[in-house]
Amino acid sequence: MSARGARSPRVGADPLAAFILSGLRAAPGRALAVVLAIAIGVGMGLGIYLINRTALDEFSGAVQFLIGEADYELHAGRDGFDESAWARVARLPEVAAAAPVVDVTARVERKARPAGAADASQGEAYPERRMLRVLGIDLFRLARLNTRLIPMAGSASGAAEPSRDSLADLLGADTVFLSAAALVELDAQVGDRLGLRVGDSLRWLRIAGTLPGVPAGQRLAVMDIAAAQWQFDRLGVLHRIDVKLAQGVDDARARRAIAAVVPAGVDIATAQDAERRTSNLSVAYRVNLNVLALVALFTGGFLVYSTQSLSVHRRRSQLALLRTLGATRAMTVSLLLAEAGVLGVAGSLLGAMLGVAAAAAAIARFGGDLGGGFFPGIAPELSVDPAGLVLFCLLGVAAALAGALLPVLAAARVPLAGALRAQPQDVAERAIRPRLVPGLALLATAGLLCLLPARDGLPLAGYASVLLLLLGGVALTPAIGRAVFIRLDRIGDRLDAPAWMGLAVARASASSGMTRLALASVVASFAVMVAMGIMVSSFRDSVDRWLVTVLPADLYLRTAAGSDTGWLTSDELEALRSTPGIARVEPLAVGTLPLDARRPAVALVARPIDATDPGARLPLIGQARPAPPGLLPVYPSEPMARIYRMEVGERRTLALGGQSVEVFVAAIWRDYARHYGALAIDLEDYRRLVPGVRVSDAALWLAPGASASGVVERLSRDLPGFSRIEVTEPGIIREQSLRIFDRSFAITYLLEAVAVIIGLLGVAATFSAEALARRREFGVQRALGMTRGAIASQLALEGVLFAAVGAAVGGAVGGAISLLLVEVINPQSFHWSMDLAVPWALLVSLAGALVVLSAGTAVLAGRAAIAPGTVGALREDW
Amino acid sequence: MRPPPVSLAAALAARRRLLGALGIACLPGSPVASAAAPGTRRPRYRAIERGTPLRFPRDHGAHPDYRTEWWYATGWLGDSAGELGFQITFFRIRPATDPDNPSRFAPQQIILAHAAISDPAERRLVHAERVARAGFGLVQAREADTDVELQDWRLAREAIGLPGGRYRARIDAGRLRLALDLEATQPLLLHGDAGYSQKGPLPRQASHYYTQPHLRVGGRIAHAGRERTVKGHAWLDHEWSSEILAPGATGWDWTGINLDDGGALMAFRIRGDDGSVVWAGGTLRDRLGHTRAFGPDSVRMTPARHWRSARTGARYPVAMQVRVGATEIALEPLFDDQELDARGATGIVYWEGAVRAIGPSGPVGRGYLELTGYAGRLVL
Amino acid sequence: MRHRRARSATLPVPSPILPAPAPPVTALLELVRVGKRVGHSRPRRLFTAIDLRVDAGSLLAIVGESGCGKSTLLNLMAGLDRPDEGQVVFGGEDLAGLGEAQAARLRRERIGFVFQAFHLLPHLTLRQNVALPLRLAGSPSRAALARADESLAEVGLPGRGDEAVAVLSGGESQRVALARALVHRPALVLADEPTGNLDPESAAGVLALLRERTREHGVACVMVTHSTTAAAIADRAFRLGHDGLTEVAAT
Repeated sequence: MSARGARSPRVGADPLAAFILSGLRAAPGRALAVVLAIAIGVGMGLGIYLINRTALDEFSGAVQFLIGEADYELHAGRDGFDESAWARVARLPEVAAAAPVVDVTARVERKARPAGAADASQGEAYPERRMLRVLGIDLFRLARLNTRLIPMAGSASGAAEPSRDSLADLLGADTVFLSAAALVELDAQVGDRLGLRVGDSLRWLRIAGTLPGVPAGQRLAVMDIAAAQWQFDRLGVLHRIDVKLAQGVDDARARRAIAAVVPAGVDIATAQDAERRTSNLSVAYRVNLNVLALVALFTGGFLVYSTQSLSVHRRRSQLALLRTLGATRAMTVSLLLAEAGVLGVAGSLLGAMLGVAAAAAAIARFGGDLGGGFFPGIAPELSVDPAGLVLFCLLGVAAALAGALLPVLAAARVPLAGALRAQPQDVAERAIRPRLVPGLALLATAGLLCLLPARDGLPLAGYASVLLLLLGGVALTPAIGRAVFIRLDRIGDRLDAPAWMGLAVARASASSGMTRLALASVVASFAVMVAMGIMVSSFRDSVDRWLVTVLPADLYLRTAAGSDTGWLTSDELEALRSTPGIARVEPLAVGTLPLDARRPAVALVARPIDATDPGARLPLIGQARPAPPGLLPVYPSEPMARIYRMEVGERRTLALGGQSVEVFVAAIWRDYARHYGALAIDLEDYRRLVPGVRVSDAALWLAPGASASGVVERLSRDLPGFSRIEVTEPGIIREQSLRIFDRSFAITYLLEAVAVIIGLLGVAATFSAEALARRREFGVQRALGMTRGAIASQLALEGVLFAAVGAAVGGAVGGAISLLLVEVINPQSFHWSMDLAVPWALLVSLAGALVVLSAGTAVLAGRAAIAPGTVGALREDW
Repeated sequence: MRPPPVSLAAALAARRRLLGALGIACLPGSPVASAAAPGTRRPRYRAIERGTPLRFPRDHGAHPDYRTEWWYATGWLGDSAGELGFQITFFRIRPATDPDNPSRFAPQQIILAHAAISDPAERRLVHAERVARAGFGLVQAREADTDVELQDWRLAREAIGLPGGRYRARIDAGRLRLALDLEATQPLLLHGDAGYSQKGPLPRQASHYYTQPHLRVGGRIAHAGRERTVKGHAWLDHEWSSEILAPGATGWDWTGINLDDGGALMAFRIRGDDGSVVWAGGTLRDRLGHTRAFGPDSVRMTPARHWRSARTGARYPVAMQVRVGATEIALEPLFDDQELDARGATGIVYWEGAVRAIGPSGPVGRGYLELTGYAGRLVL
Repeated sequence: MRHRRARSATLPVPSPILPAPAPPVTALLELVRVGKRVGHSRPRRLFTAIDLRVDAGSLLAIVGESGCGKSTLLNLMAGLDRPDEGQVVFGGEDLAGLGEAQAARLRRERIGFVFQAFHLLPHLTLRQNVALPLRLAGSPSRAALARADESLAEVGLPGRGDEAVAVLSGGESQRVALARALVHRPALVLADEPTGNLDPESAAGVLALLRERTREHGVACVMVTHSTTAAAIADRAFRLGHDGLTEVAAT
């Protein structure tokens, strides 16, 4: 094959461009690996960003759209507040218009075509759970604030049927109007009837028209407010009042006037507050995913570092030639950076395509929150925002350039004299004395940064600290390695070890630029593995133990699951209690408690809690304190206590059931389910404050000797309406929870795999880079009588030494990072703590695997140097 | 005869789609469901029966068992700057929704109000609307006497000085404000058969209908940043029914005139799809107080001059020749463009304007003319 | 050889009393009492007190044993290395006073290099290799490539600009290297064992070409070699030994 044909460069191409390309062409496999790594980082980051951006845009669009032209939205939690507040607000001279709203999410169980009678037994059942958010509105009041929510009677295509009384439909007690997206979601059309689950009954509503003003993608239904109160059993209750102020009324005066006439606990929020609340909802989740993407980018940058180190090393003499021919250092640096930049651009472009495709696919498949449940009721369409696209591409290029910077700067410093001799490889690379100061400085800065608090609820300093820890560890490794190897060398001398061992140690302690690379790669990769391993294991372990504590009963009944209208009637509860085989029934009611207009509301969990022993039902953190007489004991979850700065033994005033109540923080409990916080309260106490509390769940304890399946069978026979109740055993809940947990952390396992590859690539790069140079060295050793096996052993031992030292340092760095993740970053992002659980077996086996693989990689990469006929290498020229 | 509550939809400010909601007030009741699923029952509207005597002051008040009801004041006002027409209307509608709904928000009664002035200086109508469901003490139509409240909009009667007493009307729509007192100077005028006014070929197509003509008006009107004290005369209709329009009717023409000699004249005709007259009627009370009711054969309304609206393209017979029994008068509008154009809000367009009545030897009175169903078929 | 001049290689030290007569031609490159040591911990003196004057257009050869410091001497002349004592003056300017970037500029504008191992970039075409110094000096790509073709023609390789380095013989490689050394019309070509990797026939061809091209363009050339055959084409030849630089009679 003629070399001319093989790689004939493009005629007339610029020599500098050709030089840049030649660097990439020399090792297309490695170039491809770099491009892929950058692409994965950019793709992941961009994908997560786009998905979130799309969902958030859509969601805050929904929030804005629901607020319309109102100045304020007065709202309380899921339980709402007394409707009489509305008349008082509407009468205020400061208020120009006030529109009452009932806001209920209900499960749609069945659908019937118009031909079918509105009979519960008819119609077809939806195979999957379908939820519908229904706003009960006063058409006349809302028309002045938000015309986009005004329904249109009749189907969108034609006019209302002449015989149809459309005012009666608009104000109907059994009519509902659906947005286009809701019609699609429910596969329904105007005229159909929907069977909605409300308590133990099914309410049939006729779809009397559409909501032409509702933006595409918003799944929403509207009905008359009186109908909503009646049909959803919310008589007397409002969830929201939208308020438009009279002209010239200032904010402070309006708030004062309104606050005086609404019950305690009703929040006066502006559109901006609502916007902020939306973004707060998912900010931590978003940032954490984005940080994972940055880890991917970091690994991409590290890949660039290792390949560029190798590439520069291989082309030392070419670079020296350029310098001799008159290229300045700066020119050389920019040429080499351009080379990395080409990789970065290619990777970024590929990543951008991957990201957009992945985001589109993920949104189509899982919705905007990747199944996280943060943005219910919207079906967004991917919107690609050019600024984000450019930003992530630039990040990709920056990662490539940053990765290339160190080796390129080192290459530009190579002394010129002698570099262009006839046999440049004879020039031994000068041993570099490793420096301690930069590494120590990085570690010290990391230590300081991790003490800083979160900014805007984001542990930014913590993230910076993680990065610095990693870089500091990498920077210190050569010095540590050298110290270790020199000591080993002495010990080896004293022990009279075999020659190949001595040679391996001597070689390792020489600490050339390439050995640094091997060590750095192993440290970075092992640190990432250890950090993620410990963090995930700690989290999983804590969640597992938490699940065991929060699920003490034998069976759990659930009716609501995402809706506001599923509950157990008191008759049903009574029936449960008297069912043979059931020893104990503990009901549970759930509400919400808005404490801060800019944050998602805290969940309110009412269940029987023994004030003398709250730890029996709640996984307490620390000790509980008995409430002084006359004070209501409440139990905030850890996230709530952190967000609202509550401490055990503290007195607070909380708005519960429309009144201000003096409460006593009796204990704080661990909760991994709601990172916006939850407040537990005894069910009887809550019932005293809020009459008519609805029980949505129940925990059942079985009588001795009773079997779960037997009880379930009896219930399904004896309890009408039992079919709508979900019954689960704690083991299954636990299993499902952990499965969800593992799924959401699956991406970290992928990153661990990538990290292993980085480490091994570093080792491979080092040994293959030196293989050529060492042919002569091994030739001499063979000539002096060493066997090929001994040389292979020497290579393997070198690999082991690098991997062992790298794993030791990496393990330490990773341990420190995992501490940061567990103790700083997680509490700051999610406001919950966890116990450190080190998966020793996993870490030891990972370290072992790394050492073994490293030895193998060293032998494989160095095999060229010990191939038969090596002796001839003594005579070879470059 | 009064228009359907066109302004309901206008008050909703909610576009065309509510147009359909307007007609319902005059539709026959939907089939009544038996006690089935919640929300499916329909109210049973009371039917108008001939021979039901009207009793006052009770019948000044609201009649919630009937589907629809209105208090409709129109008149001529003046000050040093000149003359203008006004109308203030309160409607009550009982929608065909389940009467069992226990919610305090249940839309058992809908109240809407409409105010407009015909100011020659504007050369067009200035109007405002409001609508709400009754309840919470904010919005209501009381039954004991005329007292309709829509938050701070109100029309209420005080029984001082028989027979009619005094009405206070308060409308504050920001850019248009009316505060008028309307004092009765004459006895009530009961239309048809002692207040039973037939509107179609069938006896149940009818309303209870009486008028308080020759009300003496005083008060203040503010609009376009200018407030003025005005005086004048008005005409107040109170009418309630559960079924007015016969099927196949497109609209109607109506007029009510305070005659200068102290007499009062009311005439209406209901037009069919084919341009025919489905029904007509009228009442004439002379200056001596002798009242005569006229049936379809004795009432004729003939267009004398048309005006075409540049906005809607509708062509209205703004000048008419009206004959009631032997009395014949010509109606001339205060100005032509008194079209109520609510297309921006409801899509509904009709003509409601101040007119002069002219007899064979000159002007004989002043009143209002109402022309509906000319800008496309009114969905009724 | 006709162009040999009977002059001392040492530069006359200007007398403090009498103004020194201006040299007939300004020296292109002068080494003034240059010395160099090697090794860090126990430095060994490589050579000392070297004086040498290179005039424009002249071809000098320096011969010596392996390890005597011939290549180091070339590195000093190119500013790639710094003398431990004495001065290297190029075009009237002391190289010690030049910064890294200025030295690089001097090399890419005024000096051409020929190496024993050719040092052609393997992934570049002949034309690209030859055009490299022009591009480094900032010439536009198109002009640089056109000029490279001319330069290739001058060394007897016309029309072969598109070929790959790998197909060349040793002699051809060195011709390409020579084309690269001359492409930007330098004032000085430094050649380090230009025939070290060539068979005698190719070596003779390359040497003839070097002689002819440098003379034609008036380019000075300093060639270090251990081959006396090579040294024979020089205007003057010097031997580098531990005792310094001594002129030897060219054969």
